[in-house]
Amino acid sequence: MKSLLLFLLLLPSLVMAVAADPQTYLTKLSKSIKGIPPTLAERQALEKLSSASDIDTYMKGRISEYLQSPSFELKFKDKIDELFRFTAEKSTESQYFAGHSSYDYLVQDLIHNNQSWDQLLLNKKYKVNSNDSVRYRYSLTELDFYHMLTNQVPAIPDAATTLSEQIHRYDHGSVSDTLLNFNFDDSDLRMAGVLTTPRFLTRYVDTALNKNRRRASAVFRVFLCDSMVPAIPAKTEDSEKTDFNVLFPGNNQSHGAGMDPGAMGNADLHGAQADCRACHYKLDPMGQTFALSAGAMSPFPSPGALTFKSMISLKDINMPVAGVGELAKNITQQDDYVHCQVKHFWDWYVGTDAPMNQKMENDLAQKFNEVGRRPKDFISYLVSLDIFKERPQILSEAQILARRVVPIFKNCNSCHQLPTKDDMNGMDTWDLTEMPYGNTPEDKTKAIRKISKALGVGAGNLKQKMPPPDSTYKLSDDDYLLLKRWIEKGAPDFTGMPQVTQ
Amino acid sequence: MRTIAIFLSMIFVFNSMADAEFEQTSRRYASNQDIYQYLSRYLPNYCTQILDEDRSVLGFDSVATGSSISPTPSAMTILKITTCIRGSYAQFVSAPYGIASVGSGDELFGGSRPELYQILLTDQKALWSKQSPQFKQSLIANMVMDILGPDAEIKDFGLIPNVDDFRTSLMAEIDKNPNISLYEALESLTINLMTRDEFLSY
Repeated sequence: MKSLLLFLLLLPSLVMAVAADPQTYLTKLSKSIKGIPPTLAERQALEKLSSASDIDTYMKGRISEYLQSPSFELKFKDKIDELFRFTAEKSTESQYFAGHSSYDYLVQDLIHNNQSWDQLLLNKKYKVNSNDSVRYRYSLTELDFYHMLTNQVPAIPDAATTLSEQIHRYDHGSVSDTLLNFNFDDSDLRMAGVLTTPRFLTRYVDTALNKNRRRASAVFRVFLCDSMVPAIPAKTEDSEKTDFNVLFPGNNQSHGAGMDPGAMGNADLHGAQADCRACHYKLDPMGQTFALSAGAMSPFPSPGALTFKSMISLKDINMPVAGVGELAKNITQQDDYVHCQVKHFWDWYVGTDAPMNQKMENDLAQKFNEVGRRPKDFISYLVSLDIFKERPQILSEAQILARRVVPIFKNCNSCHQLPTKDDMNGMDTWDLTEMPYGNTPEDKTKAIRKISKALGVGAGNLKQKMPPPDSTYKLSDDDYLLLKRWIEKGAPDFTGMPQVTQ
Repeated sequence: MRTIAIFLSMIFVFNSMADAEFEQTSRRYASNQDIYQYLSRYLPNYCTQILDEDRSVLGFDSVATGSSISPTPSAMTILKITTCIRGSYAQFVSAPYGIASVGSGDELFGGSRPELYQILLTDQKALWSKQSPQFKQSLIANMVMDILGPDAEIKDFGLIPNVDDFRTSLMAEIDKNPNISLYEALESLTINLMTRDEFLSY
C-alpha cells in the first residue's frame, strides 16, 4: 500500500511530455511566427488529414509559408528592435527613426532576404531615405551622416533606388520616398552594420564620462550575451561595510565616517578596482573603436581591441583591431557569439524558461552554423523541435525548481565543465545543467552535498566558497536563496524526483 | 452598464483568467507586445491608440532594461483589453475587417462567417432573446472557434474539459437577461473569450 501511495504521489512527475494535438501545434506555430492565429481554412485543411506523414508535410508547408509572410517580418523586426532596445518611444527622435532609417532598411533586408545573421554586424550597404528632412541630432540628417563618410555621393535621382516592394510593405504603403544607396567596401574598417547607423549611435550616446563604453556594453550584451551587470559583491549581513570597503578601500572606519573624496587622491578608484576592472578591461578597448564618433562618425577608423574571456573555450581573447569594421568581423568568428545568438533565438521561439542544457546548446550552435546562420532556416528548425511541440503541461513545484536552477548552474559550467585548462587540475568537473547527477542514489547525494557545502547552505552562506572570490561571476541574493530552496527540497531533477534520498 | 454587469458575472462563472502556472512549460503567455499586435489587428485604430498610450503600464519591454515590468498579462492588460473591445466593438463588427464584413480578411479573423453577423449592421438593438436557439448556438460556436480555436485545441489546453458544456453554459449565462441586445451579448462574449488564457497564450 505504501509503495502504491508513493507511486501515485510521484505519478504526475513521471508523466513524460506528450506531443500536442496538431491543431494546438498549428496555433502555436502561427501565433509564435506570425503573431496571429491560423485561419479557418488552415484549420479545416488540417482537420482533413489523418496520417502522421501528411500532417508533418502540411506543418512544414505552414512553417515555410509563415516565415515568408509580412506578419512574420513585422514581428521578427520587433524582436530585433527590442534586442537593441530600440523599441519606439514617445520622442521626436524615435518618430523620425521609426521604420525609415538606415538601420530599419538594413534589418528589413536581412529578414526579407534571409541573409546571414552576421549581416547585422557585417553589412556595409546602407539605404537612406532621400526625403529625410527631419534632423535626428545636431541638425544632421542620415544623408549628412553617410555623405561625410564617402566621396561617392550619389546624385539625386540617378542613383536613387525606387522604394522597393518590401519597404512598402513595412510602411503600409504610406511612404513614397526614394532610397539612396551608400555602398561601402567590405574591407572598410569604419563601417560595421547596425553599429554604424545613426540609430545605434544616437541610442547609445557617447559622453565625456562614458567614453563609448555604453556602445561597447550594448555590443557585448547583444552579440556576446555579456550583460555587464555591475560586479560589486552581492549584499550580505554586513553588506554596508563590504560595499563600502570595495568602493573606498583603505578606509577602515564605519560606513560614512571620513568619507572625503578629496582624501582619496586623484586615482580613478572605480576604474582601478578589481571588481570594476572585471568590466572595464573589456569595455574600454572596444569603446576605443567608436572614438571620435559622436552624432556623426569619424571619417577615420579608430583602433581598439576585442578583449574578453570566452565562456566557451575559457580562453582570454585579446584581438587588436584597426577599426570597428574589423571588430565586428572578429566578433562573428567567436564561438561565444554563435552561442549567444542561438540563445536569443531559443528565448524568442522556445522560451526563456525552457531548459537548455550544455549539450543542446552545443548542438544548436552547430545547427545555426550549418544553416548558414540564416534566421528563417534556424527558426524553422527550432519550431520543429519536440520541445516546441509538447503538449502544455502544468509542472510540479519540484520540476519548476529544477528548471529554475539550470541558468544559474550554467555560470558554474564555464569552469567546472571543462577540465582542460591548466590551472583547473583537481577541480570537480561535471555538467551541472544535466540532471540527475549520477546513476546511483549515493552518487547523487554526494554531488548535492558537495554543492551544498560549496554554497555554504546551512551556514547562511557565510561559508560560501563558490563562486570563488576572484570570479567575475557573483551569485545574487535571489539566486542563492533559490539554490538553497532547491537543496532543501532534496535537489529535485527535471522529473521532480529528489536527488538526495539518503 | 448592463454589459459590465454581465461581463463581471461571466468572469465569476467561467473563471476566464485561470491561475494556471505556465512558466517552465511548453505553453506560455503571449508577450504584451504580441497582445498589442492581436488587438491592433482584430480591432484596428481605436485599440492601437489606447494601447500606445500605455506601453509601460501594459508591460512592454522597457528600452532602459530590455525587459518587461510585467512578463505575463497583468490586471491592467486585461482591463485595457476590456476597455478596448467595449470602446471599439462597432469596428469589430463592421469595417474594415470586422466579423460582419463580407469577404473579411482571413488573416485578420480566422473563420469569419459574415452572414451570421449581418443583423448587427442593420439592427443593433435586436434582442438576444428574440433570436432562434439555432442562430444563437451558431453565433457562440463561431466565436469560440474563431477566438479560442477548434475543440481539440481547447481540450488540449486543459482548462475546459468539455467544450459542449462550455458553450452551453455561455448561452445559459446570456439567456439569464431577457433584455440584453444581440450586440451587447456578442460584445460580452468577445471580452470573455479574449481574456481567457487560451486566447492570450500559445
